[in-house]
Amino acid sequence: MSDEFDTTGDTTGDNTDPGRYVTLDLGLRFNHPLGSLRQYFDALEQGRALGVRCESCARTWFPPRRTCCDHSVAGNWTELAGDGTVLSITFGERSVPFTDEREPMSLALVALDGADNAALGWIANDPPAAPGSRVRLAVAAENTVHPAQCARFEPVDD
Amino acid sequence: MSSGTRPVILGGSATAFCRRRDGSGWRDWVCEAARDALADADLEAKDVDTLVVACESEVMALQLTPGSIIVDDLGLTPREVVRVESGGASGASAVRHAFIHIASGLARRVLVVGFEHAASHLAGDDVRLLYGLSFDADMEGIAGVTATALYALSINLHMQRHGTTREQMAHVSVKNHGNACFNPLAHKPMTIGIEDVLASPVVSTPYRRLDCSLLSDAAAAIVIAAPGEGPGGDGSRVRIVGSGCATDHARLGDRAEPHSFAAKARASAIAYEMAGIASAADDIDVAEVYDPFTGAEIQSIEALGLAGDGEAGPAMAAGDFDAAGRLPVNLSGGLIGQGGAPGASGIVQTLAVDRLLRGAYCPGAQPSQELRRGVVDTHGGICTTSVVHVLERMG
Repeated sequence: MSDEFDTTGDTTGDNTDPGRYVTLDLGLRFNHPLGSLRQYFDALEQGRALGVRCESCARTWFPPRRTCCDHSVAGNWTELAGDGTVLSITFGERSVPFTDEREPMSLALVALDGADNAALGWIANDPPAAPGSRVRLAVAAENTVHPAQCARFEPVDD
Repeated sequence: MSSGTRPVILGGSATAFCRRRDGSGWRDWVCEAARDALADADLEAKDVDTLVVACESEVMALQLTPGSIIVDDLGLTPREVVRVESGGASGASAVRHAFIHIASGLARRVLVVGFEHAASHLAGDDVRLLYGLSFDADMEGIAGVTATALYALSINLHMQRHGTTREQMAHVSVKNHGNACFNPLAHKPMTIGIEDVLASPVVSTPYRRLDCSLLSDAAAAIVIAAPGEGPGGDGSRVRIVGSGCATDHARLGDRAEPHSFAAKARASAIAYEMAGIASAADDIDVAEVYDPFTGAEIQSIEALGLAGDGEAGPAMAAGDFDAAGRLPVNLSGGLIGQGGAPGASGIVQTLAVDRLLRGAYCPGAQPSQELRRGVVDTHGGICTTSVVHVLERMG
């Protein structure tokens, strides 16, 4: 299912009794570990692209994978330049979890130079990017609660 | 994989798919669906060997280990219960587990129940956050990536590759909302036109509001048995002749072909081989296809082999998959028209095809031509886990 919440067409079945509800407010505090990807997240906060390279097939993964797609072994950390090409892009709105941040923003699938997979990243709507646009990894660490929220791409002229 | 036993569908039932605001809860819906399914199968609870429960999110249900609660609620203690989860495919995975139980000889009659309490009791942002965590939470969900955005990125690549158009996708919305008008369980029956879809508010390009399915509250149940274990003989019942399941990399960017659903192509190939189907496009008469978004139905039709790569969009616009087309798809309305409740969806899809093959589906939606074989397609994530079943009418 989608995560859209259009209420048009709501029905409540045959029962028109409004019933009784109690309101429960769950405030859960997680001390969430970054685990073995800590180095990737640390680098991301600095605007650096840290991927992993599989020594069995010489492929490089950014974002990193815990194991190679084809070889069930962990790779070695390797730094990429941070430049890449937009493969696909969608214009919409970004709502940042666990914050009040909400803004018009594009989400792009970006193939970083030297990587064998593609990364998701946010790009400002203006100037508009398109498939084929060249971009560079940037950092936007304000109003974030998790390093994954820092990843942005900015357009560059090649 | 081969399986000598082809399980038989004895009966089933489902609640309405909707936003429940009548004070009832998911345990009420599960009891209602299970009771009606057993009655439809002309069985009592004591006749069931095993219970399989499907539910994607126990957080949304506010009940950890729902299986152990449901087995007691249904009066099935001390029978075995197992809860399965595979995101949007949870209900279909539960049907597959019933298939496995019966094919292995471990059980004779299995009750499958699935539910989701996803639509009516949480704020929209909270639901969006929780479902974002159903993708790669650390890399994507916590960063604010949504299901809609991921599916949009995938279909944009399909559009680049194959020239699939907004109008072709809008046809899916018109068809499925229209088909839902005949389905009394449907969440969003509507008669609309292509222009309505194209003019609806943008969510995440190219997807607009009317390209998106709904989250619904619902429960569904089905009784599946070994051949000869149903009351009154098998007669013209429907049996499950093929079952396949496969996975893909969780992250879209890790896939070699992010515009297509590779897991579905693999799962359907497994199911078709088991069913002895050489050409799905020729041998399948009707299909319930997983359609969280309009473009995803087009991608799914191609992955299922019901159209060639890049051919489903033009065929959709030509009416091939309409109710009166060569291969009706989502006569129930699909997720777009009927609604989506992950634990229940795969079960209610299976029920729809069962009834269509028996000529017993909703008046107005039942095609006039005889249907012998149908496919049920469900997936979780962005087709990260795919479950496909082939159903065939006996006699």
